[in-house]
Amino acid sequence: MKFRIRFSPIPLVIMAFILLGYKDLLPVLALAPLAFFSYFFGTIFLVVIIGFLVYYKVGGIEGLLLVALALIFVESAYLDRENAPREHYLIVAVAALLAIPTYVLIAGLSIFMPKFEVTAIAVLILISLYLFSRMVTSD
Amino acid sequence: MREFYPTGKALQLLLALWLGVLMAFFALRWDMIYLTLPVIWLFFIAVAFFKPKLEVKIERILPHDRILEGEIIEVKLVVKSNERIPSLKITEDVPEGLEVVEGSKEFLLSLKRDEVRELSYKIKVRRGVHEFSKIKMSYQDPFGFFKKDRQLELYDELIGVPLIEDVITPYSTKGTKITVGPLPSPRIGEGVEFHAIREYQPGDPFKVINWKATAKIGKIMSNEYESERKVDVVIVLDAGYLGANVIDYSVRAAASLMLDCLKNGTSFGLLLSESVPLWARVDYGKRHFFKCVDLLSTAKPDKNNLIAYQVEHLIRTRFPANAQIIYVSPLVSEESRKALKMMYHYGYKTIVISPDPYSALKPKSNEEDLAIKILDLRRKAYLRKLSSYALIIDWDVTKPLKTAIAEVVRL
Repeated sequence: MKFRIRFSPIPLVIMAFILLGYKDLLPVLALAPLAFFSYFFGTIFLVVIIGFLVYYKVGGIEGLLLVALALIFVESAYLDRENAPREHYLIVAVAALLAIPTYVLIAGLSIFMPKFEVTAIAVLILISLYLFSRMVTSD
Repeated sequence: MREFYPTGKALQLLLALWLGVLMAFFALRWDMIYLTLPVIWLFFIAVAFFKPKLEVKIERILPHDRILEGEIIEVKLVVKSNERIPSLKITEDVPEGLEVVEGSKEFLLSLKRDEVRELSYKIKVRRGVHEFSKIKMSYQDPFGFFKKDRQLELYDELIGVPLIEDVITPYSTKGTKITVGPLPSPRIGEGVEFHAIREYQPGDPFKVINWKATAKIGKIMSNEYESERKVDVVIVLDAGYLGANVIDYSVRAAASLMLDCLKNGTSFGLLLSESVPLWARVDYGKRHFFKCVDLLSTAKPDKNNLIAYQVEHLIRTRFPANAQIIYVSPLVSEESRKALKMMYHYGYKTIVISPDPYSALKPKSNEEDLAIKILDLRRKAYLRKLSSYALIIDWDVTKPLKTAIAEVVRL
């Protein structure tokens, strides 16, 4: 098992700082160190944090930012182990944080197009997710 | 082989994504599905911007196509990329008989567009024909989500030729060919070996007149000399599996003898006795020598050895009459001993170079040492029995062949 830490603590520290405002979510951080050891534990950490956010209804830009930071942290821990070049960290951070403008766009659309309800957007995301999964896993 | 496929890491993240979706639905907070957006974006970026075409050209450079066995050579791979590849793994398909002694057959590199990179590794060449057939390339995107494998057909052949020692070919026959050579011949003619004195015949050159005998007898007397001629040499190599541990020595001996024949201008042929016998007809010259060396390079121990049958068939159809046969065999199988008797019965003069298979073994225990000694004694008894059929050179492979020949044959 490879173990190397370079840049991955940065998103973790930011996330911990944000989580200080959400006492209910703080226990999630107990799982975070496991992500340094393997990617599998990292994904468990990610699932748990999404579960907590859904359960405690912490959504909006803050919820999304927390998921994005958790994802950046998990991916950075992987890149640390692989001794990846710095630009890869940047690409991961940009890709994950692109979710925020996307959310803002969706939220904006729901205001300006009343018929186009949030449910429809959720279904749209689900369908695109399904198609995307098919595309990724097909040989 | 799948060309483009997700890695275990991608599947784990995808599973996390679906679990997130399910949690949102089961908690009746389906609108919070947007929390999965960062993961979707990451996948999208990886697929959209880091899906490679693997436009790479690779060239393999070998220093030479024929290399002496045991030598260490450097194999170079020149890689040229026509696109930017952040992470490319190249695996060279090193043939089984070659041993990588320096560097690795796997390379991990990052290439810019139009970048040319030279990679190298060193291998120790063993005897045989070694075929490089392909190079495997594996691309992994920077995030480790997807893999793309490609196999590049890149054929190169490397022949590990046997080591050659400077030896003198032993002969047990006289020169029978018309051409002048190193062997005494039954014919009388020009030569250096004195044969007899006879009365001067018109046409004899003055230099052959024996003036002392002329003065004594009162008639003009001339010296007669033995002419020196060549003989065809046929090398028979026994590749039986019982002598597998000395086959390399047998091959080296055969190659060394052929080189000596080449130097003397003697014609030689080769029978490599494997399950399918390889026969190189008797011929002269460098080209023929290299052809035989290439045949020898391919020699490998064979289980289905029918050497006696093969020798009998070739004696009847291909072996030149009165040829000198040099039989390279450890003489440990019944078949190989039968082959020797066959050569004798067909009237061929044979010299056996018999590499001792037990001299190459290093016993690890007293019991093993005793077993080797018993087997060696049995072999020696066979050699004694067979010595009436041919001149046998029992070669302890820890010593040079030259010494073994000199111990038996007065050169």
